[in-house]
Amino acid sequence: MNLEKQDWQKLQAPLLTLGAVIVVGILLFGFASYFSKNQELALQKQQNMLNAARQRYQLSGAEKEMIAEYLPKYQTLISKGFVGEEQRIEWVEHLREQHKTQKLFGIKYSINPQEKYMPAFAANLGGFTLNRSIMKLDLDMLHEGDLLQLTEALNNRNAAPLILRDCEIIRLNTGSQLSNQLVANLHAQCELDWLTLREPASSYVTPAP
Amino acid sequence: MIKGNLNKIVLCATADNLLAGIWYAGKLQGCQKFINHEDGHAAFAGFLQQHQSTPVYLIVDAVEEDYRLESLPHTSGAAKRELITRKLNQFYRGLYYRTAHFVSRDKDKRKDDHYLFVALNNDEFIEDWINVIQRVDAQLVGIYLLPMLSKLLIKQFKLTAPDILLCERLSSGLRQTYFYNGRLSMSRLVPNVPDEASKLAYFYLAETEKTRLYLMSKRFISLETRMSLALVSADGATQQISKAISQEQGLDCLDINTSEMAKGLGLPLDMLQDMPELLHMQLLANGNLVDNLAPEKLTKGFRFRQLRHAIRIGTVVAGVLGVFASAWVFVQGLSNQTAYNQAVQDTVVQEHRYSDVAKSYPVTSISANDLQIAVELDKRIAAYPKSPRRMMQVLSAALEPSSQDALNNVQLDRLRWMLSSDGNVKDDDKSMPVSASPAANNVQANAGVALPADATALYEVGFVTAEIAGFSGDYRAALNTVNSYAANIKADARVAAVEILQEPVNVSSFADLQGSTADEQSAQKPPAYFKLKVILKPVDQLSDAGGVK
Repeated sequence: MNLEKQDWQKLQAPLLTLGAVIVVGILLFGFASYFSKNQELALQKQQNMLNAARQRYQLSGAEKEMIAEYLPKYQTLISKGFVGEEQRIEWVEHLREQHKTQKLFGIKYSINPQEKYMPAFAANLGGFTLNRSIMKLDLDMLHEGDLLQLTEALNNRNAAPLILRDCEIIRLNTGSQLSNQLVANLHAQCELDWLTLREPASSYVTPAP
Repeated sequence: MIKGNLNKIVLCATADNLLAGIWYAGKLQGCQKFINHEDGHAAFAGFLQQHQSTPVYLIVDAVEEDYRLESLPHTSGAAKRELITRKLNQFYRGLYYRTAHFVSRDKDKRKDDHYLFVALNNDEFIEDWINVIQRVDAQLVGIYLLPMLSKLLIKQFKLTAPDILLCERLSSGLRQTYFYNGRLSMSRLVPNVPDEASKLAYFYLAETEKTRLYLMSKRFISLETRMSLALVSADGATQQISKAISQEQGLDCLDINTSEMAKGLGLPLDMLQDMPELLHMQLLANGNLVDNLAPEKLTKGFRFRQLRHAIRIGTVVAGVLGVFASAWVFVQGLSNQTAYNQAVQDTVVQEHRYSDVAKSYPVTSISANDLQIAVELDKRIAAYPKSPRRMMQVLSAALEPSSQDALNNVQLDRLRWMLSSDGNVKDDDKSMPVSASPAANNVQANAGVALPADATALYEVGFVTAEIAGFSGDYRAALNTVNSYAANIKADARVAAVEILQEPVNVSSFADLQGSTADEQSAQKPPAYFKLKVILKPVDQLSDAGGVK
């Protein structure tokens, strides 16, 4: 059927009404969908929170035991500097003490600025942030035992954990026998990671008894 | 609106008058006859104005009509329409009411389409009626030829003979319609039927013979064709005629009484006897549409109203659907909202319960899980090696076996110790003299060490640079020393893998080899460096084995 201009004019009102009804229908449906979707998401989120709250309540006994077990150990970590700020002064003093007690040659050290660290061995850090300061030690040695004593002593102390990551030991007088005199026969360069944990910004608070 | 759709006006126009019937839901409500005269036209206009929104169907029962069977090449779509229009113009140029009725399609050869082209040769007698319809803006659905509706009677009465001549006594005269295999081929109307019953049998017979001759002339049938006659009447008036024709002429003649059919359709018998066309009108009112002869211009009003009607229905449907769908989704949202509010209350209750229990906990600002994580991390870090002690022990132990005297001359110049999760870690040793070509020095680029895939495990990797002290130029002995040293290292249970990265001399056919046979006597002996890569197993994996390269 061929429609002429006057036919289109006659159809104008019904078509406009149809268009308006479709637009209103779409808007209505869109609003309803938006409302429903929002409510569904809110419900889902609230259900998760409810499940978490239920689980927390059900596991409250185990949680209490866990806090009782780990809190003293955690406080030890704070006191030795693993949790909180780095105790650089104490560390330098300890290095000097090692130098004296083990009668080592001079030890050059440097500590880089602290940075965030996300190693593979610490994938789950909970609410903590792990920081690392790369430390470099540079020292001459009479023999290789000096290095072993030094690095083990640095770690054995009740201090923040260090990871000795890289050590290069070079014979200074290549091609000749080690000297019996009190001169450096070996040189060592080592890199260590000084790790510290930072507590979550908004820590979970257990009500006081 | 719905009532308008169920109402139908069916008209039947003859040369003298117009029969108009009103049907509601397929039931005849009443009928009226209008004389083909000015008064009749005025009355008809008044009738139509009373039912302006009712669709109008017009049946034409005329003497001047034409039928042509024609074969056309099979086409479809626009090509088909164009071809049919061209044929209609060719056959019926200047005729206004015409159409093409598809009959059948050949099953072999070109598979041509067979069409019956139909036209009204003289439309003067319906012009006035059409003018009235247009003037009052009635909704004309279409114009149909009465014989085309007769085809439906053949189906209704289940007449299956191949050649049937249907004889119907109508108000306008005797209509004889020829059907070949149930398909309409030709029809003719004979006015002036004699009133005397005694002359009727002869009249029927004479007209049948004329029709037979006409069909033979048009080659629809041959001389031998045995044609079946079907005489239709509402009152059984043709029963005697049928009998007489059968007995005297030996023709197959069947009398069909439409009274039963009329009863079934709800048609009053007396009205049907007076106006036999009512049967055809009833068939049309029941929705049995046949091909329309009216040009588009005449039916545009009806179709335009249908379009507007469809838009209105679409509007209502869209509105109702939109409202119902939105309401359904909204109700779901409200249901979710109720469930959400309930969940909030339940959460508060659970948190209160927990708070009551938590009052007895030790005071801490850190959650139990975080406390555990911190302590476990400290333990893990503490488990890693604190010094290269184990590596030194392994290297030292490999030099000690008393049976290998030759190892006494191995002098370690450098040890690079690393703690890494990557077994293929590289050493950037600059103290080692390296030849221009890696192949020339037998350097294996620290590759090919496969370690268990555990991202949390840190391996002790050592790069040992050493030389053969007091090397006299005996490369064979030097190579043996290096291999023995590597084998001794490998034999240690703490070792995961040993790799000889560089040998004192490169004996590969792909590398340069330079030297002097006087090396042994020379005061300046060339150095015999070699380099090893050693990977130790983590302390907790000491049962695993590795390989020597």
